[in-house]
Amino acid sequence: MSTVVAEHAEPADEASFTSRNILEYVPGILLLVAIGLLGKYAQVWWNSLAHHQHWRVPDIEYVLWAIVFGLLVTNTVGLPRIFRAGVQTYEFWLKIGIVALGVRFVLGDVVKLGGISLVQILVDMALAGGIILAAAHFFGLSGKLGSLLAIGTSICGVSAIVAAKGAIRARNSDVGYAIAAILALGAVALFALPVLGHAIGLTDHEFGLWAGLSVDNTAETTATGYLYSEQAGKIAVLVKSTRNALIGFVVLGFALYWAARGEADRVAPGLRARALFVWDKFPKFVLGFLTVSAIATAGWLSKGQTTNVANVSRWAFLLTFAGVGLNTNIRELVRTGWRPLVVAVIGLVVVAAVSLGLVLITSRGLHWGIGAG
Amino acid sequence: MTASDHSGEAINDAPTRGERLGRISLDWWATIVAGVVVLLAVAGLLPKIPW
Repeated sequence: MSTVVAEHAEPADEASFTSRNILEYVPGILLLVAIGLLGKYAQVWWNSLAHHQHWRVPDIEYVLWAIVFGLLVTNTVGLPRIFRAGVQTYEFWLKIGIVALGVRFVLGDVVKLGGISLVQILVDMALAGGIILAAAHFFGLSGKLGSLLAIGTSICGVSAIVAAKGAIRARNSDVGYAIAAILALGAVALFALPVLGHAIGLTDHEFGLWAGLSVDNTAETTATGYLYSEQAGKIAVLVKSTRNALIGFVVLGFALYWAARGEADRVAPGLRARALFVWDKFPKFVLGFLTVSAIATAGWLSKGQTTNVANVSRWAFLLTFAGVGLNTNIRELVRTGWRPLVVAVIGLVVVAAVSLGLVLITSRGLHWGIGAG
Repeated sequence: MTASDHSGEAINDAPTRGERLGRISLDWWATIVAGVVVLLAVAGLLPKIPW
């Protein structure tokens, strides 16, 4: 998420690291640490207070505290310029957290859960993508804005939109709209899905699958999963990483479609060129996640070493959650036009409903599933 | 053009170390940094802050 919608129209790399001067990142990163720690200790203080006062209140997770504190800062006093460069690095910490999280998964489970979620993702993408394209057409959005919303909603939010921007030669205004709409929905899903999950009575595994399949932006997916439980968070990250791995194929499909209509640059012919196109869009941190998981599966790490790496993942995610709150500017999101938002809302509802149906069918009907360690 | 001219061109055209590093995408950098952090954690060289 971003404080300024236009900032997300730039490539993701530039949005994450906006300066070459390393000192400019220090204040923002310190703010991420401060908000994250405040969130973590707020959970402890809240529980302690409730215990002392004999209150019967729900346990509010550190994830929610960190996001809410971040939201309060950005939407009240605002985020001073000095902090912006460092705060924008939150997706960098997310990637580090995901790589380190590999230590908590056995490689066989990764392959099995990845395979299960791949089937669900493909069904979800086909159904939801088709409905979003139809809704975009119905509301009179440009074809490319519809494509961007379909890519962002059915695959993986901002990264996919940024990856598709050049490939389908989309206008900056369309990219800005699509990103703003996806981010607004990410914020809605972040708070709505855990409540719905508890109301429906989903298990941690089911909720992790659901969040991984239906929340668009990886940072929000991770936060949504961890808001439910740590186990749900782990599953959500794995499923979302599988979705992310498909970015290249989806962007290639849309690029070929728009090139055939003469409205985008031609994609070089031949299998090798297309394989390179897909590889270029492939999120490389997924390889890091798989490598760490393989090392852990091989039994090369002691229990203490595994705990150390798992703690790295938790602390990195804590900075990410603080960044999600600090980067959510509600006023900026409200300024987005209503049409893209309506299409994106339809997208979220469709993706959430379809993926919930898939999760329930596969886990309760077909009994597919594994546990993560 | 002499052989030494050719080698001079080759040297001039070769990207500097900074340019080569600059071409590495953020995605790769995050993965490389994450790998280093994981190695430090495995080696027990990171401060042990309990969760």
